[in-house]
Amino acid sequence: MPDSSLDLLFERVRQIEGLVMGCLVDAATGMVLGSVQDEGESNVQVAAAGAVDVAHVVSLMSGELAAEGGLEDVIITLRGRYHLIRRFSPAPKLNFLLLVVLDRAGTNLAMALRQLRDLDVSFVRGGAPERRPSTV
Amino acid sequence: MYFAREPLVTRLGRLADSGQTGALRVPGDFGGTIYLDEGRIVYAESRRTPAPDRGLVRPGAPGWGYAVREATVDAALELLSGRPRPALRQPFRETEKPDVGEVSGMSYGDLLTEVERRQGVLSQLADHVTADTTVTRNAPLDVPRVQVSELQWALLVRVGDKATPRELAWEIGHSVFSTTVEVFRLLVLRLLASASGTVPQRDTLSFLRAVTE
Repeated sequence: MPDSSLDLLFERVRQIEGLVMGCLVDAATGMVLGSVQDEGESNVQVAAAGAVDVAHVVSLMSGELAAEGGLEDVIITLRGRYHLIRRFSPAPKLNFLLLVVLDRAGTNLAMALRQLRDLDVSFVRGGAPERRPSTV
Repeated sequence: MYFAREPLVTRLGRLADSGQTGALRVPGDFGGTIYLDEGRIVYAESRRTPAPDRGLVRPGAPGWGYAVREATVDAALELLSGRPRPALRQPFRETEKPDVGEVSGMSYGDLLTEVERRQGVLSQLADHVTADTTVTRNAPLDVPRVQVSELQWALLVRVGDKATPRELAWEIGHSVFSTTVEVFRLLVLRLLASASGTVPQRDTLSFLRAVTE
């Protein structure tokens, strides 16, 4: 049984078909709070930092357009991969980004997005995690 | 208890490598304490960064573990970025434990990587703002309609006539690092102005550049 909500979160992230890498990042600082990835996969720090920059630019755009509401998620389509960035707040004053990188040939984008949104809701209800990065 | 005269980062690394438990004190006005538990850094505090309970989060509440981790990295950034003071004594007491509850802590390597990443981010901002730069509220007549985040609003209403990111961090209970980054973003939006009078370009801050350069 998972012994923390972060373990539980990544347990469910692992179930997304085509998963290459997933990580949880503090959007305010860019600090990686936990990750799951294939051995030898690309640098989590780089992917996480890029996700924070992208989320900030999108927030800046919506802010300058004075568009109602904040960022929910960003879908980036590369030739071989999808990068899904989901924003959520598990506790007051916490603003996290969950980045999931998927192999495009091995995943169903609509299903993956649905899973991401579902686990976001359950994680927020389950409280904040306490664990450090792990590798599969 | 014993004393040493080596740089703080070296001392901390040696204590972590040998699996020590206790408190490493850094004396002086810019000092603080770093707590280890079997070599893992479980907590750090600095006289110049807020403690985790400065914010709304309380021990045991959701988010407490993150608040402790963020306060620890913030304090470590402050302590490890100070001028090397090898002549200062840094007593290590093996019996002291922090009063922050059960936290998993970080390895020395992970802490150092994160501190170096943050130093890279701050060096991008240094020409325009540091934690101790005085900023003022700015109200240009040509500012477009703009939507700010909850945190940005909290900062804007507290700036008053003038304030530094460090003062604001203590007031709202956020880390000095995250407050400095957010103040920089408000400078870019021209909702704040710095005492230096410089206006940063939009592409100055990049977390990605901080880990790839």
